[in-house]
Amino acid sequence: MMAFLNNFLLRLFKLKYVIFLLCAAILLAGGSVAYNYFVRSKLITMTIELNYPGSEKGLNPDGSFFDVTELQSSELIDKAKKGLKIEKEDTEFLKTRLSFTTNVSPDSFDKVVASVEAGEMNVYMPTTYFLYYSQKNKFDKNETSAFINNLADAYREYFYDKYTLKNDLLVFDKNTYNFAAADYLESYDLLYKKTTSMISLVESHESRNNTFKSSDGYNLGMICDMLRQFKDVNLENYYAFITQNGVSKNNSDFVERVSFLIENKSLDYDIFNEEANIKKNVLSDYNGSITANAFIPAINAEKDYYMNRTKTGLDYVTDEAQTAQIRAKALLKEIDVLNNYKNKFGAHYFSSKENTKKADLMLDTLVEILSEISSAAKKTDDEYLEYETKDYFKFKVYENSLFGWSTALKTALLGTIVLAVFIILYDIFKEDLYERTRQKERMAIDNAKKNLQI
Amino acid sequence: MKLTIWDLFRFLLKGKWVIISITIITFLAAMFYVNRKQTYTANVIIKYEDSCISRGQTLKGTSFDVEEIISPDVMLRVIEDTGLSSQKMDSIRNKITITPIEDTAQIKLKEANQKNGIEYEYYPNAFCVSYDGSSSFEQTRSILNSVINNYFDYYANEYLYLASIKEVDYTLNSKDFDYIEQAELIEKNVKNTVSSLSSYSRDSNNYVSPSNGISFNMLINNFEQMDTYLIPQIFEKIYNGKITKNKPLLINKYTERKESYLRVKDNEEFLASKTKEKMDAYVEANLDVPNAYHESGSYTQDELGVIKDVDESFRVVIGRTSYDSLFRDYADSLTSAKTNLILAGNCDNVIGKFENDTVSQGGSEKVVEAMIKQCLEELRPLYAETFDVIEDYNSYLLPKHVTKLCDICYFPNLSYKVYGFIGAVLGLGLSCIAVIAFEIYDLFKKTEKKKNGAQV
Repeated sequence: MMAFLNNFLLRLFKLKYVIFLLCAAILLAGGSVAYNYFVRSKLITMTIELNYPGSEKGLNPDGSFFDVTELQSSELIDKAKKGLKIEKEDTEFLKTRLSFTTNVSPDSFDKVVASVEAGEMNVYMPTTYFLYYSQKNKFDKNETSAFINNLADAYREYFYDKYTLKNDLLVFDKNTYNFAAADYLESYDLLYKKTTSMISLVESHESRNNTFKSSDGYNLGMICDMLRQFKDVNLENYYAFITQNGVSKNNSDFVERVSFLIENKSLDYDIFNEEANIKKNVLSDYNGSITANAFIPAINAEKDYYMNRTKTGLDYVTDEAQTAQIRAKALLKEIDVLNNYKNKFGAHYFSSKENTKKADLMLDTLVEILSEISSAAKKTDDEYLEYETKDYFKFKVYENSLFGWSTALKTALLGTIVLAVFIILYDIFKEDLYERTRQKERMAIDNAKKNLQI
Repeated sequence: MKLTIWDLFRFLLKGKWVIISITIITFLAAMFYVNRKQTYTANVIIKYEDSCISRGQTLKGTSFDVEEIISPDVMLRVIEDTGLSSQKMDSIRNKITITPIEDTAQIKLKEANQKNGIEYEYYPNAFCVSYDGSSSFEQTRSILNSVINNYFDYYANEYLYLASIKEVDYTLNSKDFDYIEQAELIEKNVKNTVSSLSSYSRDSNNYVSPSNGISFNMLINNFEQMDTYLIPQIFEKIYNGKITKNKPLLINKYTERKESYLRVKDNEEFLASKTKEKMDAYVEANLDVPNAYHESGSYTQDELGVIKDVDESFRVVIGRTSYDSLFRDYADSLTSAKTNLILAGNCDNVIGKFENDTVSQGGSEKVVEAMIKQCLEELRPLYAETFDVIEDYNSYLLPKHVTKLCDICYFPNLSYKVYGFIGAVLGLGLSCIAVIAFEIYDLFKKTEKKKNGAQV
């Protein structure tokens, strides 16, 4: 074995071979460095990992379809190239330099098909996507990394803006409401509805995470309590004051508006009430004996099937009568409230200055309080949303080094070994050829000698 | 000339360089061929979530046709999206294959039922959509992606009950409408919007739009605020000031409207009385006759009439007896007659408000015009917000009806490994045979030469 190796090495250590191999190694290393510098360093890979509920089903956080090709949208590419040298490049052209792959193998695909055939419905949607970008002009400044990072930032911004939860509703900017033009009761209604919506939003976030605490020490439950207190105490005090004293900026206008509403709602009430009465009275016209034997599958309130021995006509009409009655009753309640307003606000031709001044003061205080709660709520909820959504995305950028010294070294080494093997084989071949030629010559001489002897 | 197996090995060893070279060349040629001829196929699995698809029907009750995936409507959008030339449309359509993925248990059940002569309907609801694309895997994938996305949009628009609302005409105050008509149009629009939004809110389980963080309830609040304050104020100003652009025309219009309501009322009353007559006649004709409704004598449970016409998706009984239909029509006609009478009374009320001789004042008209303008201006951003929410809501609705079970998977149609292997094996085999044949020929020639030499 050693002799065999020794033989090989001896063949290599001829000056011409050594020089050749050295030159080849330098050339290979140089070529590798050049290739790395001009080509590989301008090809970049980014992985996008999705990590939110629903991503495994191929959905966005809001329940719509996730579409990775949105990363190639003109809007995002325009943002990503801004400030770079490639800004002048055509966006459509840059799109063609971006490509995606996913990890959906034919095996995973077959598994899903098999599951469907077996009556199950397995889903396989990748949550990792690979984005490749290669700069066209290899001799230009390397902007691959900057471009791809900008693209990742732009996409993150776009995605959070379009698909994740928002809490803009918690913003209460007093300047956006024209309280000066609105009547006191209208202002109450505005504040009441705003507070109710805010409570509903914070409650929905609290139900997802009730242990979260903001940097200020607030948790979502506390914010909810603050809003409820505002609604149940502060706002109610204001409401009680204006309704009990009939405080309005223009009592006669107020009463006329309320009268119109009463008239309008009374019309609706009459329609529903009459429908309820007619449908109730008409039930006696139904001849029950006609449907004695018809059994009809129906569902009960628990959505379970039961065999309904009916008269579906009776069921439907009774149900419609009841629905109409409920709506009429609700309208009657609203009319009662409006009549109450009419009586109280109509008791005075105009509200006293003292009362309007007090109502204005109370309203200002309410606006101030709600503004304060709103800023605390917004800050807490912002932090909550940031905490909840911070891991929705993970971008990893794999850059190729500028020169790739280690690759160059490996290429040179590997190339030299391969060339050395070829050189040895060549040397053996050459020797063999030489031997054979010599042998042929010897044979030819021998033959000639033999012929001469003959 | 005698040859042993060792001679063959000797020949192969002798021709090793030729064999190695040919094997490498054929391997490389195979690789080159694959590289030149490579095409990709992309697949995706889609599944319809609505149970009606398993009965071969769409949500609208029309027959379901999965081939709509390659319908011209969808294909045109794909062409637009991908920027391909429209001539390629048919070529893309031809390259798309839609294969149903059938549940084996259902197939067996169907076969068993058919053997017993029982009709059994089974329609698959999952399909594999394949596209035999070009040499670029990216283009193949993006075309199939575009086909699926556009088909989903098409399916949503064609078959799903998507949320929609009608925007108010912002220019109605510049048209020839009377003030009260303008106010009525605005009020009607706002009420319709509130009604639509309320139904979406009930269905959506407190959906909040991710674009602007607004829910349907919040939008309803905003519209209701307008319906409670600003709109009644406009009406109140119009009624109190008797503000109209043309009083006789307005009175005529309301009189006509009133008479129309009364005519409908009379028709409905007439219809109700006729329906009642039919109900009574029906009862009289059927009571003593054994039939589906009334079986004479004693009956066993097996003889009971069972109506199977139940819509599984909505879980409601659709079947209704003729008598029940008559009864409901009778009740509805009576209700409608009364409603029309009430509405006619309301017209009378409006006419009464405008009928006295008071002339409207110019100042009040300006106030009403300003209020209507303000109302329309306030409605514009509100509708813009509402449309944003509705757009988000509709994209949220789609995956509830049709989904992708597996993302687009693409694979090459020619395998480098297989073709490389075949190329190398073929090259190796042929070169071995060639080398052996050459050597045998060479040996044969030498032997012949020797023989001839000996003879000489």
